Amino acid sequence: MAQDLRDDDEQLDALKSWWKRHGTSLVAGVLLAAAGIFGWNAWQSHQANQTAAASQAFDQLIALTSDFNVLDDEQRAQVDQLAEQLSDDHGGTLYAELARLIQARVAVDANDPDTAMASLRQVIDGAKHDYVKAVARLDLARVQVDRQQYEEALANLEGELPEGLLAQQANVRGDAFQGLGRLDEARDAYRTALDLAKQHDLPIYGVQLKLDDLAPQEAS
Amino acid sequence: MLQDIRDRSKGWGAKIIVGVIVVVFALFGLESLGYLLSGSSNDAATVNGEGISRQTLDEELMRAMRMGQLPPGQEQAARGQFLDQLIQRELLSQYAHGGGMGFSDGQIDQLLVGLPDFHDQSGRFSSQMFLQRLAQIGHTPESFRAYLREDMVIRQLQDGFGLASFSTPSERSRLASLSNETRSFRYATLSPSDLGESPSVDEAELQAYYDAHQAAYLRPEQVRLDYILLDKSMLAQNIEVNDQELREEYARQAADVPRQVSDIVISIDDQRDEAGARELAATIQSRLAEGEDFAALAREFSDDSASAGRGGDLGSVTPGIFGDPFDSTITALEVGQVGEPILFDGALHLLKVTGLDMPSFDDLRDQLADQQRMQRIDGEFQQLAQELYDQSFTADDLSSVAEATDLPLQHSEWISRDTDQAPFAEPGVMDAAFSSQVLEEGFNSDVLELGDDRRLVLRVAEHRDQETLPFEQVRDQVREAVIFEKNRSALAQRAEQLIESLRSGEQPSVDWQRADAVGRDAQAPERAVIDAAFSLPRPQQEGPRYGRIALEDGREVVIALDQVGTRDDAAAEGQIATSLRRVEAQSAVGGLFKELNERAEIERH
Repeated sequence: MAQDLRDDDEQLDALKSWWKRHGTSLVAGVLLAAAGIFGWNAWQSHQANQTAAASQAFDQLIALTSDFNVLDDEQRAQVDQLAEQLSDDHGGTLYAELARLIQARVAVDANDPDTAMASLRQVIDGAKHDYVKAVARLDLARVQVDRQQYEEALANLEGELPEGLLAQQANVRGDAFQGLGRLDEARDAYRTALDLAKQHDLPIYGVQLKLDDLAPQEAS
Repeated sequence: MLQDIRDRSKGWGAKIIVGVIVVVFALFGLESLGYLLSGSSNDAATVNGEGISRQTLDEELMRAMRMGQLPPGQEQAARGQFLDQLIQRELLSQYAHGGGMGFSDGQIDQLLVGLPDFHDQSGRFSSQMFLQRLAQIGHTPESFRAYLREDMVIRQLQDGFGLASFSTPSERSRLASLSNETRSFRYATLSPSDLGESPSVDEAELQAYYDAHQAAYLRPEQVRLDYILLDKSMLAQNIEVNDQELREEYARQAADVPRQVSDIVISIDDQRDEAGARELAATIQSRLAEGEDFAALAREFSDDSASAGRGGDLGSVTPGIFGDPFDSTITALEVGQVGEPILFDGALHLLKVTGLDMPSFDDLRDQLADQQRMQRIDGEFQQLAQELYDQSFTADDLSSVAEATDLPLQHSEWISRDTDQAPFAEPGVMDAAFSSQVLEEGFNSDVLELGDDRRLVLRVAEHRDQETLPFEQVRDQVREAVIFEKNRSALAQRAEQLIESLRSGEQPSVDWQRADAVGRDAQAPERAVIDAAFSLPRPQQEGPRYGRIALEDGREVVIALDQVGTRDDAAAEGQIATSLRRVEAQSAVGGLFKELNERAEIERH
């Protein structure tokens, strides 16, 4: 305060005039802040409830699918229902996206590639998390190779993938080329997969077998 | 100034300011002030701006030590590794929470109640067990819940990727048929000794090889050390221990170990009052005194149907489970003794200790003797350690320190930073030897603690820089290498000619060995030969396929692949499915790690 206020009367007067000028806006400000705080708290607790619901649904999904047995129709319907529920009510969360991936796996295991591809496409088109999207692209390409849709698989594998998935990407490319009878390219892809796995310390399986199988005739 | 504030605070204006502060505190709590005041100086690391406090790291280390995962004395060495783990957890946790994942209090309650670790004997959650177990691992209920909350979310994330992994039918069948393939082939080994005389080598060749392979003749920077090692177990060697004391120590330890207990339960209910129960107990006791078998009597009389069938056996009982009258009774009993009946849980119990969860005295004798010796010598060890510390800190050399402490002054050979010699390979030793204080300024090192029981102080006696060894000094090695290379290319050429003549239909005499219907995973012949046989193209009409492989030891193997077959292994496809799935899960989770690490801002303080 610029000037020293000596006694209570002067202070009271100053306060009164200050109140006249700023009172309404102060009250409005305080009310607004309070409303904001309560609103924020309500929003927070709403969010927490949402998260808990999604988390529980996801736990159910894990419990249903954790032993990798082939599920019966009723169980599969439950898996589908949980995946739908997570997508509808909790879209954009990792729960929703991972649930789609699991739904696709269950479908692959049940020999239902169409459902699998549909679930994976939903992740590729709609997921917020790039990494999950990349995993879905790889999975989709593998299902496509299995269905002999080699060109589609190759198109799907075009473009950047995260470093940790590069060896798998090359491996699946190799499978697609092999399916198309483009053996030189298949060999190159498998070799790339092995090199990448070594270079980045990534897990890989069976690639050496497939490469050996394609040993070029002119070598001997 | 304080007076001034007090004066003014009587005024209206001040009261309003105080009021505002009160409101802020009421709405936002005390933490709001805490946030302002706490710096980041207490963080061991920050991950994308989120701190990992030193306290968290310390607690984590302490927990690992309590659970025996970390030997004492290794805390400092393990610190970095534990911090890395915490950073990885933090990264995953941030990703999961940012992606809308979470684990609620209700879910944690459910989880806790279901964990068998916290169940009492009846299989129900017991809060006493819960608190006891937490205390053992150094958690409070709050910290444990916080830990679980993070852990479960991370687990959900990993489960999500793991449960999304699959193998397709075509992947499985292709790999199954490839891995069930067998190959029948012949192979012949050409050794350097087959070449007759060893190749001639002239001076110019040696020099040329030496010039082209300088890196192979590089000797790293090395030091020779003088050192004094104080080792408690060496000091302890000469201490005498007597048997009596060891037996007392054994008895003392035995008091705390779980006992195997058998129990005859005489329940007190509508049909039998306490007096009746005591009467029955007395009958059983007298029959025991006559030499009857406790187990047989348990089968006959015990009202606990579960244990009665096992002769009353409750298994091993940790103190604390049944509470005090039980514990004090069995602690007082020797193995084989039966106690006086005790009353608890509405029944009389006749208890017999049938064994201890502990090896016999004879088995433990040496260990106990070592413990005793180490304990006795501890005072002397600490005193010597202190003396070592005082002396080496002030002395300009180590020989005077050795004299003063009466410990031997020892000398190392030339060793480099990555030596595997004991005790120099232990964490921190070579760092000390190459520190500027020791290496450049020539001081004694600090007294290094190698665990609790050894102390080491060292100084550098001699030092030599990294150096490419002069030709003269390594001439023999160079010669060997040149001969190896010459033999190898001569053998390769010979193998090539052999294959050439085989292909052209000639029939050179070859000392073939046969390998019939060999699988990829066969134990013989050696790995490199099998791999080579499987990397050859399949033979076609025109006859066998030929190839060669250079083995690491300089031999050359010529292979004639005659036939490709398959073996019947129905199990293979199942294993392949599992392996494919596992690799996919690993690369998905591992890839996420890599991705998060790459994009994160991680600072270690």
